[in-house]
Amino acid sequence: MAKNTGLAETEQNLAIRNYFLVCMAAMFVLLVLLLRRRLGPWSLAPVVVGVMGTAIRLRFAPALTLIVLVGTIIALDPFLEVFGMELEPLFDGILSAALLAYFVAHYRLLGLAVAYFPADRGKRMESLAEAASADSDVSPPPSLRSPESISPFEMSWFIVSLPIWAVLAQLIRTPLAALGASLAGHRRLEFYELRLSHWQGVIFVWTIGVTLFVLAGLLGYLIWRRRSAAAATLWLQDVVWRETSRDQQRVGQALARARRRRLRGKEVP
Amino acid sequence: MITARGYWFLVLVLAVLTLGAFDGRSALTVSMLTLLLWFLSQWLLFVVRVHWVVPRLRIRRVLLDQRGPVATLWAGQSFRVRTEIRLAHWLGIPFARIKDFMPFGVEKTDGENSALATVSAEKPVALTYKIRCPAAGWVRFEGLAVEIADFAGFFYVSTFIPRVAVYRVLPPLADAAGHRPSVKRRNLLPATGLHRHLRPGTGSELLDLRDYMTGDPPKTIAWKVSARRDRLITKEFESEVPMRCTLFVDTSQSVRVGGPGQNALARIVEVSASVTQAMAGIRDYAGLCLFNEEKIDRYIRPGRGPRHVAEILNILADTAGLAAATGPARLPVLLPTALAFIQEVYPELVRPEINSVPGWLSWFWPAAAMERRRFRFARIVARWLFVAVLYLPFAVLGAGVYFIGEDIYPFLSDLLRLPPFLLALVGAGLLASGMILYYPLVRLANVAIGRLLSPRRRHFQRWRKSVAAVIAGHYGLGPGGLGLLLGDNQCLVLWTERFLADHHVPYTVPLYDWRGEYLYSSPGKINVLADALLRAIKRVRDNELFVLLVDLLELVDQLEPLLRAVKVTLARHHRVLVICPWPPGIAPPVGKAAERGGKPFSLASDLSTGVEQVTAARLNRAYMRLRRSFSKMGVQVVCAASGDPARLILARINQLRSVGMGRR
Repeated sequence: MAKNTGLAETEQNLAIRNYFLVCMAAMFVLLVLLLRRRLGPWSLAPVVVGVMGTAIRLRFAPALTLIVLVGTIIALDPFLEVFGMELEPLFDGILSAALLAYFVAHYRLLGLAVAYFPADRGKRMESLAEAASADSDVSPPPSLRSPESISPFEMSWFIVSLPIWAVLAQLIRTPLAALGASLAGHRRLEFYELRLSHWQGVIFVWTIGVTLFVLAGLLGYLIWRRRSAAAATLWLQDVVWRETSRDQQRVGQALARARRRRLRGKEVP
Repeated sequence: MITARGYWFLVLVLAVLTLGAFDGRSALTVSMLTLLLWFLSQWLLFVVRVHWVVPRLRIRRVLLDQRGPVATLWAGQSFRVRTEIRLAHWLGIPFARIKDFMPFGVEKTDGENSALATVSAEKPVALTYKIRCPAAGWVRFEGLAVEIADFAGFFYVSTFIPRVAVYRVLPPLADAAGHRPSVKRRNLLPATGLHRHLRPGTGSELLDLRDYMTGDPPKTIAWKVSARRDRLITKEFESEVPMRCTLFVDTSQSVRVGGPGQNALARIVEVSASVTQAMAGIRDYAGLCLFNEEKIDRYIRPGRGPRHVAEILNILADTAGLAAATGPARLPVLLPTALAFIQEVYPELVRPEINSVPGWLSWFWPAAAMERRRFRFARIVARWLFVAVLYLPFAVLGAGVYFIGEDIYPFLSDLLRLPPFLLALVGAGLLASGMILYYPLVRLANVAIGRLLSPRRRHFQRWRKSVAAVIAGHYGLGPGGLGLLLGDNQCLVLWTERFLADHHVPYTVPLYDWRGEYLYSSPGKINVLADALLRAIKRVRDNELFVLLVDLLELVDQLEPLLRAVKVTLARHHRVLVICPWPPGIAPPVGKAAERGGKPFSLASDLSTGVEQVTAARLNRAYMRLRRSFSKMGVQVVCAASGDPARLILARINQLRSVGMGRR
């Protein structure tokens, strides 16, 4: 038993180490890419934030890294003016893969080393524990991801999937950018006097917004169809109540007053 | 479903994507698009897992003792619970926290009822743990709580797979050493002046001779005596004397106060079960009468045999699970417990898309009608004062306009080009409409500001709606029922108590009402018990024992009907014994200390100790008064918490068996 536990701990530590190395590798790639874009010492800013965040298991380290990276690129990157934006798709792909690797590895690392489940469940269990006068075990158990759940293919599949996502993003972006360019050159739309990048931004925002909307609606509908009978009954009851709440309130209060009159003089207050 | 981390991630990615797209930064656009695509894929996968895979979890729960699976549990014994979770779907759940929701009132003695595990079609998860049932009643297994999150922590859902199983927990088995006499003492010599209670039967000892009656077996004819008397005489033999005992079990609210297994009812049930089993072991008759403050709930005539005992034990087990309920319970105490339980066991029914709480409800929903009774006169006075103060500005305004009107009217008349009478009419109309609208608007603002300053009240309204909707749906009350529950606090309290009691969730009940009166004295049970006793002696034979297991400590001043019934019972040559349950946590009365009212009262170190001392002293005095009231008739009163009442009852039965009641 002790041997098994030791083995599991070793596996867990190994997984933590692997994800940590992936984070470091992603940061290294990011540093190289930024240096290549002639950002000089400023290339170190997002990398330092990312490395420090991972080392101290900071929960918002990826967000912070991204914000610093965006600030650095927008403020200092001369790439747009010098080369234009269509010249280095490879650079974009590698940057995307590195960022994705860092985000995923960091969050998985947190699940292994800090907490896997969010801690919002503890509060509502307190009142139940009080009610049960500590007789029943209702406290939430620890929530670190166990070593048994770490599959040997997890890391390899994760590494392999990185370029797939990057390529997919490129494939989506290219036609959208082309559509934006065609719109920018359209005579009827010259009236708006928007730049090419703005047209592309509009196309992006609309496309992503509509996609998200349609996807959420479709999934919502499919989920709705799978509701239990109790949930459906409750929903219907809620609809009727919302539409007749004022009348029901009046009826309920009248009944309560009637009962109060009936009980007048008795012990019940 | 989406966690705070997920929200922040999505917002940040969308913001940077928009920025990159509008600014023409392809590096940012592609990077964020990559992150977004990955996020959407994780979302899709998670949704599929939650709504298509998790419902395919199959649960199999078995309760085992040393010999194998059981369908009924026994109090005081340990059982092994084995829950097996299988997944009938090819897409597994990579990591989940699975927890078998343990019933309330049982103790986990070994093993773990939760696990962090990977669930797949090939690899079922098994949870094995041991529970111990401390008291008789019911044990209800609700199902399995399943928590799922993705590896990155962007999505999380806590759901529940219902698998309700209710097991009856029978009272503890009476041990032979403790409660069961090993030898039936039927040949003891009676004390001087007392005669044995004998009955003709099929024994071996000669009891009497009588004239022959048609149908008597010829072998019982006493030939020599018949020859002497010149008529046929039949011998009668002494029978074994099976004793009859009826247990009157108090199931009123007064004995239900306290958690399951920790209240007075649990102790009463335990004593009754022990006595019943011990009597069945020596082939005596045991009967049962359950009563509460309203009626005789159940009466089972004395009987014997395994089926009879099993019936009594089942009834006692059902009785032990009864929970206290009272109208005036405080809703703020019940609601958090009910909501926490619902969130745990019915998480689907409190999700906003199903059980929505309108935004205005927490601000403007009026108080329930039954809340407004206290200090009614003061409220009316306060309301009229409030109205008077509110309209003070209008009075001042009216007076000001009246006094300076002569100067203002011409000016306004010139300005608006209206004749003065029309101007006065418009002004009066404006003032009147302002006055009419002023009161409700200020009242509304008052309520809103009150709620704004008290977030707890807002939360309370939201909880009310959620809990009331679930209860109305659970019991099929419909939308009208929901309105009724929201409009009447007392109704909601009763239904919430019922909901919690049905799910065996312990909850706190107030012991005293707002006037400081004890809510659970249940005075009605005195008459019911007296009636039950009188009815019982109508149908029984002589020389029976009636054991009254009843809480009378709060009713020592109202015993008269019961004392009359006991006198009649004694006059019919029966015996009565009173077993009085004692509140847990308070030392049982012992000797002369009880006569003085318990331990000497000392200046308490804290409030709770002081309250406990005062309560103990009061109960001790009540107990001694109770003993004096019954001892005048020769009826013994025993405290259930001191000594062993079951042993005392059995000893009394043995005494009855050997010496009978009749002074001939």
